Amino acid sequence: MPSSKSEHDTSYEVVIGIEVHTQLATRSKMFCRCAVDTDAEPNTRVCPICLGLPGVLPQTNDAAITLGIKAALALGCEVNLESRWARKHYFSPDLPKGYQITQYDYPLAEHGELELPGLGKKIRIRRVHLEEDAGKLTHGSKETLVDFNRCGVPLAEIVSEPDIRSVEEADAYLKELRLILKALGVSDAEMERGHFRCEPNISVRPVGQKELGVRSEIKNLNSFKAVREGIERAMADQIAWLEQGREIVQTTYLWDEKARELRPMRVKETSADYRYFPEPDLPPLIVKETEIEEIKKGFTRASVTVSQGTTVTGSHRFILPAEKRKEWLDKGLKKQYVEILVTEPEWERYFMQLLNKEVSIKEASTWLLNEARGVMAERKETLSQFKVPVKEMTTLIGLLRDGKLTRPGAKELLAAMAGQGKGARELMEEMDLGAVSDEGLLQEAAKKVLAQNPDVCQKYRKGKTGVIGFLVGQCMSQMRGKADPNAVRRTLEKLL
Amino acid sequence: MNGLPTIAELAFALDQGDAKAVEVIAEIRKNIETHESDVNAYVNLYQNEATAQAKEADAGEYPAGKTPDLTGIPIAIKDNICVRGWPCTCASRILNGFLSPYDATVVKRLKAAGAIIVGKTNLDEFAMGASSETSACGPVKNPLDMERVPGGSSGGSAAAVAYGGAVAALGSDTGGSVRQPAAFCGLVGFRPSYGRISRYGLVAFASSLDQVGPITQTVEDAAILYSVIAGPDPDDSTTYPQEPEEMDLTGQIPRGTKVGVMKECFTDLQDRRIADAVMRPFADAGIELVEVSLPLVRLSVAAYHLLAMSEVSSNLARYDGIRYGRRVEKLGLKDTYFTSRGQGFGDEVKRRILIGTFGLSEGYIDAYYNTALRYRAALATQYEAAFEKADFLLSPTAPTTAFKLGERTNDPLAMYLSDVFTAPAALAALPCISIPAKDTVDGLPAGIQLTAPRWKDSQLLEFAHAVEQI
Repeated sequence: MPSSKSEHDTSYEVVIGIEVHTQLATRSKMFCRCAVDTDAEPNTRVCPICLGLPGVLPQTNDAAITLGIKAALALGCEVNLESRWARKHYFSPDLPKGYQITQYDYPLAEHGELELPGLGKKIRIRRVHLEEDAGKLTHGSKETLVDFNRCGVPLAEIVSEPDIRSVEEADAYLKELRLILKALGVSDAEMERGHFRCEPNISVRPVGQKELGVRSEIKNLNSFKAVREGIERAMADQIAWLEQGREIVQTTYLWDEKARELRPMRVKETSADYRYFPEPDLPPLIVKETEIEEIKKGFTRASVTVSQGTTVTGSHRFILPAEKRKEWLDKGLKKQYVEILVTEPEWERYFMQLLNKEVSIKEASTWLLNEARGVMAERKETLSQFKVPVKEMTTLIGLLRDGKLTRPGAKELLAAMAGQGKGARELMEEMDLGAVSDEGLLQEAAKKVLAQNPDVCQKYRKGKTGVIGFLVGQCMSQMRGKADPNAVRRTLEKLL
Repeated sequence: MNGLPTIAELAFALDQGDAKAVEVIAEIRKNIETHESDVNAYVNLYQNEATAQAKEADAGEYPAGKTPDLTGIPIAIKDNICVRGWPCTCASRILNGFLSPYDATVVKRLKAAGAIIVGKTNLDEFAMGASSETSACGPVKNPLDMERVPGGSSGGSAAAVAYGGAVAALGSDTGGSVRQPAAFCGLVGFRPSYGRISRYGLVAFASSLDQVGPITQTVEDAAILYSVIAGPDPDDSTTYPQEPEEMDLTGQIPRGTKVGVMKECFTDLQDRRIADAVMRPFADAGIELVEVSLPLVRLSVAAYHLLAMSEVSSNLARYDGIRYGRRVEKLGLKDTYFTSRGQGFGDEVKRRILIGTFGLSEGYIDAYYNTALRYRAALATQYEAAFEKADFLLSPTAPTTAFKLGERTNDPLAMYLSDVFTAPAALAALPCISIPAKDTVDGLPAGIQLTAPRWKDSQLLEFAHAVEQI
């Protein structure tokens, strides 16, 4: 390898593909009838089948298959009408049978794609397949304990093509994928609970080079932040090695969350031979076209729900985030507000409830997504801690709309309502925030301001009508912001 | 011949009040006392439980006419089939101390029909063998000639029925393990179509080949046990969704029935006396015989062992000493694995795990496992062609009669070749039965093996029953 190049001569491109294991939101396990409950007392959600006792046989869980098909369809995959189960062998105390039942050469679905929101780029999905999870090991100082509750919990593995070219794209891909899985009810996709495990493989190459570089794979990334840091780390290492003219060996790393370091787990020469072969205990997995059609019917168009002003929560109906996003943008909602609605279901729910009370999209976005969200950010609260019921929020917006409250008054009121649980009207009166609409009081204030500013009155009368804004402002401050600026303006105009 | 009635006879006698279950159990107890210490047919006996159950059966009613009913009938179960609360050793040290927390589907069905389980029978370790000599519980001997093996791997089941230790037994057949011991002990051994009988609770040896099957004194008894245990099972996804067809054991051979004589089996047979013994009833009865050629049968042992060993390497991975069975505690996980498995498995099991692991490994799977799979598909096609010409196919069950103990233990290849006539039907998933020929060879029984198209289990039993009457 020519090492004459200085490190500034070459710029590098990163190539990333990602495998995601997502826990399917079923009540029972993939191949037995045990409940999925990984929080239960260790080894209480187990049976002869998931413990791999002599003589047992697996039975597939239809619910898991349906969820797998749902995910595959949402990712635009072709669902294979016949796929197969395979055994993947390795010895580990958390793997009771000594093999994992998975899908190998005939996966459930293939050839999908996922569009990165905002970036407009599409990442191809290579395959979606189903498999079972292993148990959980807890390493103590003297002994290692094993909990089989998680053993046999259904997983879908979603594998992307190496189409990702930056950390940002990787981040966007994973966030959108997670959003889709959650929106469809396919998975709870809670990363810290291991419901959504990301394993990126990373290689770098000089820009312009066709061949892919040697890959590093990273496991144990339990947050989006860890994914970003891990990828950045692997990229930096590889570029440094290339600069030094060192050969890169294909290596699997574990992300060390505490040290924020990559720890080599195994290199390719010692990689396991999993000895995949067809699972003889299960017939091929047959999916009927009618089943696919039935699931497709559940994909509701966003317009149905947005125009009806209700969210759809039934298990058979679901809206893809991309569609929802488009629908809201078409309705004129700002991009940053759209993202809140698409990514945060509790905010979406609140928002839709406001729309149901005949609050306009504009009003709802201003007062919920901007003002209320700002208040909560300041108070470091979540929506559930907000304690302003939809009804009271609607009242506040109505008071403003009817001129009973000024904008500054409304903001003050909202801040006061947060975390209090008092009614909008009650608190407005208590705080004396109501807009002054009494003609007499307005006139009094206006006269006072006019008397204080004879030169400005002069300018106005000479035709510089723009100066009225100044006078309005003066009146408003005179009335401590409690007047309706439009009414003030009308009074001033009359007097002038 | 074992001094005990058949299932059919006993059920009738119990119905009529001419017999008592306790009397039969007492008779069996006596036979066990006399023969068991020499024969070693059982791994575990449950005679007190059996006696208690027999008393209960006698106190209750024998539901006459309700078929199939096994109330009060003593049955032996091969010790690779799980019975709730009892050990299931598979004749291996690695399962030391393991108690099954559940009943195999076949056991559940036998219990539901009222059968009394007398004990768990000895076998080749994990059913891997053709002589019942690889058992960690010691070899089984053939009650007909104590110097000879009873066949295997269900040798304990066959020997127990042969000496009167049970009225009938269940075995398991992966490449011949029901049919060959039945042939060596002069009994009937029936391997149904793959998928007819649930494998749930049968400890896996080679999952794509394993089938439970009865070892009985008569074809009628095989049919009775079969009708109790066969049929779809939600716990086994590979079972056939339809119930078996009704049977009518008339003893008559339907006009126009054609039997295909499997050319390669007879050509390759070295002992002509076995061929003669197998052929004679068909000649006597004037049954129409046609010659059929299935050249691929000659490769069946190689293909069978490649597939079976590959599956063994997978199925036996679970015996790691972590959750149950024998654990030899060592410093570190790897050493615990190595020592537990190293001490827990016998040589034959280890040999098969090693070969199977090799056959599935990267770079070799195409040459071995996948080639064997292609062979399997091609063999099934040859069978289909043969069944165009004949209703049933005929061959000897084994190339020899029972051989001597120790004769083949140091020659695995010779041992594997015992499966040469039984492996093909297993690979093709076909129903296949061994019935004893009337003529013996040097005083030892020879087996007549009949094969039928897949799912024609009932027709095969009807025909075999008729042949048995000749």
